[in-house]
Amino acid sequence: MAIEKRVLVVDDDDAIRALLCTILRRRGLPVDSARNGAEALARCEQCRYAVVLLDLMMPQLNGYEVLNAFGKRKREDRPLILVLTAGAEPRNLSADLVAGTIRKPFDVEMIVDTISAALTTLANREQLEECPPADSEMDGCGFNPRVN
Amino acid sequence: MARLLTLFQVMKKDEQPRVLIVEDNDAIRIMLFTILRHQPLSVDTASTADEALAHVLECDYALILIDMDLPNRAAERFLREFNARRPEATSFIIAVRDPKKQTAIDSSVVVAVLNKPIEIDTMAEVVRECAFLVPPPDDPLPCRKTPESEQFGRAERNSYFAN
Repeated sequence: MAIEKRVLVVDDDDAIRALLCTILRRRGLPVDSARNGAEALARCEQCRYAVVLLDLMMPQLNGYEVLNAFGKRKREDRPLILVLTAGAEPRNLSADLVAGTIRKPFDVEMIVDTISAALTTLANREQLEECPPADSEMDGCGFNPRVN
Repeated sequence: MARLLTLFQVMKKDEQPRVLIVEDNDAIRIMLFTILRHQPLSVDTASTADEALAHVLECDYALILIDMDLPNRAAERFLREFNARRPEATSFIIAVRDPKKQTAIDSSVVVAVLNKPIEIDTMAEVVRECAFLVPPPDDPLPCRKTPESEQFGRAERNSYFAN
């Protein structure tokens, strides 16, 4: 199975998802995206992610619920999580789960540099067998045929 | 304000305030480093208290950003040692801590606290603003070490020109 460090972008805003996915792909990173927490957790069942960029306020399952689900995993099975915030939502995030928070609107260059840098410190791990090729390697980032 | 900006713009790279990040988590340390090296700052990093101590005995830092949750209360030990061995230092010390842990913070040494998980924009803004508030020491250490941020920039430039 492939050794890779895949990134998952979780945001209900199509533009943000497409933007982050496109830019990370240009940096040569495999990227998947999810529109809500439920979809994110489904993705995490199929694939291993090195970094998850997680929006908090989303329909269906929100970011807090996704964090709760990650909290039940063993530490070594958790990705590095960066939370995207609009600034107004209640916080109280666990420092054990969340490496940092980034306020929207974010500095695109900074966010991509930060993720690229963090990835260099994370160990290479084999991708799961059932994990499909990354969205970024398929039809690009603006449209995801598996979820639309 | 314009004059101040102009002053900053003409500052040479080696005159930028020097900042030390002390953090044992590799991913978080490199993240903080990456964010701060984009600021008009010279940045070094340390993953342990001993490494941090070696840095502060060699160079003057305008600001030290230290994770108070280093294993074995090493951050507290570092701050004690730093105070004892560099009593003349004027470094602005910002502690980063998990608010859920009852980490003791000596307010006579630590000027400000940032809670984990770090809000990246706030951290960058606070560090940038505070680092410029610290006056350069009257009798600076003869620091000969190139800041890591400068080495990083050089490596980036070299790889850019090589391609």
